[in-house]
Amino acid sequence: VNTATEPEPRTESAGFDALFDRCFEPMKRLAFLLGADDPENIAQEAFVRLHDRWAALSDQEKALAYLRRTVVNLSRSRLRHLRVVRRAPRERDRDAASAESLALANRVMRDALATLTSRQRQVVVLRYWLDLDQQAIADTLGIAVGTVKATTSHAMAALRDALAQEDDR
Amino acid sequence: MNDLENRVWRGLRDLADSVPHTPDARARLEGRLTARRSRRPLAIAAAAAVVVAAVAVPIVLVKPDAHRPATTQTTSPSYTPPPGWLKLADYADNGVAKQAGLTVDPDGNGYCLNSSAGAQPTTYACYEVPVWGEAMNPARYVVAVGVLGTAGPMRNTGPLQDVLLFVTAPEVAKLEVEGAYGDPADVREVARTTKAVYWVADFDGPTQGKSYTVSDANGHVLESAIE
Repeated sequence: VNTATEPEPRTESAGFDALFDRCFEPMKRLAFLLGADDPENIAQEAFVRLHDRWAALSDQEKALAYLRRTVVNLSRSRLRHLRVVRRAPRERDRDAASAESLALANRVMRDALATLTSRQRQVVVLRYWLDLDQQAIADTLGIAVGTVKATTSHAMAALRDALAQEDDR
Repeated sequence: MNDLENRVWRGLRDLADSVPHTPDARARLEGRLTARRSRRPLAIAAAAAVVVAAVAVPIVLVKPDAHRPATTQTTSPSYTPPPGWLKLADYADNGVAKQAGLTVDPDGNGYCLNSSAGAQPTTYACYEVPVWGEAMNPARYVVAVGVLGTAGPMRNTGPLQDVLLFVTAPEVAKLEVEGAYGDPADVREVARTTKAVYWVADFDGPTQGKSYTVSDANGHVLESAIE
């Protein structure tokens, strides 16, 4: 029997490891773009929670959707948490990067994103960074597709104004 | 996509690319998973019943669905904790039940963190009680350390990464601790001297990004921070 062409059976851990290798950095960047102060920690925590539920997720697409939801929710919780504690968080590596080290365009975009509401920012990042369609955004955020459309429209209008102001400076 | 959409699409990618790569991400994840695995069996047993008798008496772990002991792990019959030894947390180390503990110097000026699973505890680290309050700049009322210390062999990858010892100024009457996402940690006071108060905070998750608030007996906030 020629077994050379038989694929290796996929193990539970092989699937999880492959997803981690493929998606850890994107999930960390998602948390960063959503405004979290410690995206590394959020991405790690999301994968720990995914690990606990790995057996219940029948395919990688469901796992990826779970990851996205978890990162969005953890980022939201983290931002809310930061707002209610009196003292500002210690500067982290990302913030420690000097303004000179960031391209001007990056600073402009970062400042423009900061003018959005939390929900607007989530919709913009999921749409234009993760390239999710409206249904996937709705599923990720647990809102209606109509709400996604309206929020996107308002967010883009706000970004247009913010970027125009930045350009005029 | 129109010009604005193109600009946002491109701008988000440029911004995301400014985030540095994490070279040891897998190792960090393994550390977190190891810590959770090490504590879970003990947590399940504790939820049902953990009978801890006096010194030299077996620790009996009872399964939730059983009326008789499922596993019996016995500390050494000769084991006698040093005077003043205080248990901070239970954990499993390669299947061996251990206890993280604290001893406070008789004069109250220092304390040691250790682990016991046999005849004698293993001391991982000893610390001086710091100078508190307005004498420091900025004023300091709190220090926190892992319950296995900062120099123990398992401090980064082993169990109990999510349990911290908080040492506070003696005027602190209340300590509130939250995890990075606002979930309250389980906090209990374990010792109080004229020099310091010792508390254990169990986060049931990572401690990075934690916050704490300490107050005096009148409810005045002495220190509040996110770390």
